[in-house]
Amino acid sequence: MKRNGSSDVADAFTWISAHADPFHVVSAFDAAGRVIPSSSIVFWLFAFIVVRYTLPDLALWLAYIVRPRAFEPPPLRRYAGAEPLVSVIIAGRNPGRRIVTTIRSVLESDYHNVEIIFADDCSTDDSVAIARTFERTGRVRVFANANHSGKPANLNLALMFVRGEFVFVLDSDTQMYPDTIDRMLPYFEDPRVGAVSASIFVRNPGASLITRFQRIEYILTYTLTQLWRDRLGIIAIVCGMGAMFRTSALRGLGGFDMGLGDDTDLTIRLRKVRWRLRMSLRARISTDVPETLARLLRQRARWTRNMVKVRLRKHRDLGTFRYGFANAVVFYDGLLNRAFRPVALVCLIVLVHLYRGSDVPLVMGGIYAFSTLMLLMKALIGRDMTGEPSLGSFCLAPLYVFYRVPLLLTQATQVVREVLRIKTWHPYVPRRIWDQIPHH
Amino acid sequence: MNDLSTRLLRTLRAVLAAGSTLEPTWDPRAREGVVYRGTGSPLDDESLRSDLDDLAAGDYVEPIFVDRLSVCPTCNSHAINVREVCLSCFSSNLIQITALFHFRCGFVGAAETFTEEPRGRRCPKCRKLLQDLGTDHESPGDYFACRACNATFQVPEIGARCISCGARFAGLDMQRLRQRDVFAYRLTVRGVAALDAGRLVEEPREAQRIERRG
Repeated sequence: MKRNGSSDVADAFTWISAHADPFHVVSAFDAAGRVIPSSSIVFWLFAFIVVRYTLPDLALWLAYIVRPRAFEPPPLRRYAGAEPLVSVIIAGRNPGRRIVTTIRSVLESDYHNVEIIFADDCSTDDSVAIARTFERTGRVRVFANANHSGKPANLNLALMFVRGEFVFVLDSDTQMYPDTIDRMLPYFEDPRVGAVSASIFVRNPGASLITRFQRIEYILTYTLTQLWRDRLGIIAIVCGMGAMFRTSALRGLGGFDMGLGDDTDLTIRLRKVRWRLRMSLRARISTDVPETLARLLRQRARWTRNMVKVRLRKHRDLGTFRYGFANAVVFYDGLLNRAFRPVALVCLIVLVHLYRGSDVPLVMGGIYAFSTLMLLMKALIGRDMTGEPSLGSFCLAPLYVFYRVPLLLTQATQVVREVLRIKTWHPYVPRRIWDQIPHH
Repeated sequence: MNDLSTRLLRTLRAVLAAGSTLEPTWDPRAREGVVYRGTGSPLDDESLRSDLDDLAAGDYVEPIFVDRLSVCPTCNSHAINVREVCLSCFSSNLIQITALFHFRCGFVGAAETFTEEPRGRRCPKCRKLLQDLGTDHESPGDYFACRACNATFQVPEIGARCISCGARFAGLDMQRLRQRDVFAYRLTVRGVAALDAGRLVEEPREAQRIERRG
């Protein structure tokens, strides 16, 4: 790439002054297009990001407009009027009073044939005593683990006591809606379906600016993505916050494996044995999200490292096409999305600074304008399909880039750290157990 | 002295004869499960219990708590079988199981699900041999399983059954069981004085007694 910044900038400014209002967003976008020629790698990098992160959502929306009924749960046949037992398993450490909201949300479900199993991970507060007050209902059972063993171990402990044909895995800081199970169960009419995930909403959006951004993010990067992945049969994660599984599928795999990223790992293991995974647009759960930037960055750092551990190391054989084309797509898309994208973003910023010299503000302005435009478009799609994010959230759209960039930079750092195996242990899994787990 | 005073003095003498403290004796044949030997009358003789209560109220004897009996609210029998029952169906057909957790693969299951081999237990999930408890596996705890409804739980419910009339109690029903305290009775200074004087300090009247019992 040759450095010819000053003439490009002059061209761009001439073009702007001749064709458009310089304060208009489109002007910045056009100017950016003019200063990044198609011969530049930056152009193709940017073009690829646009295609990958825009087209699927647009196609999804078109499909939704044309056939909205295709997004409704299928009709009940085998389970019509039968109400098979659904076991809701909750694992948590020190959830405190939050466990009350979680358990109540299940007890107040329109679906009545449920049992709740709470596996407490050796809490140091009064969580067990609080949860035990629900045992008198006859629908809740509490198991207090004698040792702190981590979430996967406690989910497996709860799984041991499951009696239902289906298992609903619910986080201790997450709640379901009265119709959540009713909206998920129909998908299991297909005997090939092993798991169904739900749309996730943020329960505490008003807590801080960070949670308001996450409200937008959950719709854009989780719900919408899950929906088009569902259509293509390439769901890459059945989120552990709240998802429903066929008990035989979960037990057939021996439950959750130990280590980080238990939900991603389980999803891939289900995919490997060819269970179908579905997403229910109409089934909703809501969860508490981190309220401070520091907590959020810690959470995302953990998630990123999980992805590298699980996708790139433990299940790298998914990319060999041995498990079919769709699974290979899941692998390579995961690689691109979770590892390549954050690193690419950093490279993009560095490249722009290195090669464009004085054009940097213009180029970055163009990228910013385009990103914000994409965001607004996706937010509208999300709003149309799910009712979220709220209209008030649209006001935050111009700032959203400044929320996402630090996250992506953190992700990039964590990808590098994990690839170089720098400080791989995370207290999510106790050290005595971590040392016994095979690390790939 | 009226008849009541005479009877109370006789009971007071029985306390003295028992060594100044009248101890209860457990007797499953007695309707209330306990008798006071030496008084010539088992405790379930309503009048003896009333007499001892009267003497305690008059400070002639001091009641000393010995135990608490559960009594069937239906038939008044003390023959209550209290045991652990299932949370869901209240059956007492329970077994206790020990769970094991294998660190390596995360498998959690009843100890029986791990195959016993000469060199130790083998994990059904990853087929690895378990080494020493605490190093590569541990027990999250013991649990109960109900053979009647397959429910499993960590803390069972307490249930009871009256052996005399067959009534069952579990869960909130357990609160219907009546509680009756069993006492030993020790002679007080006032009781000794009454025995020396050959009469009670105050003449007890049936009306007072009825009033006190409400």
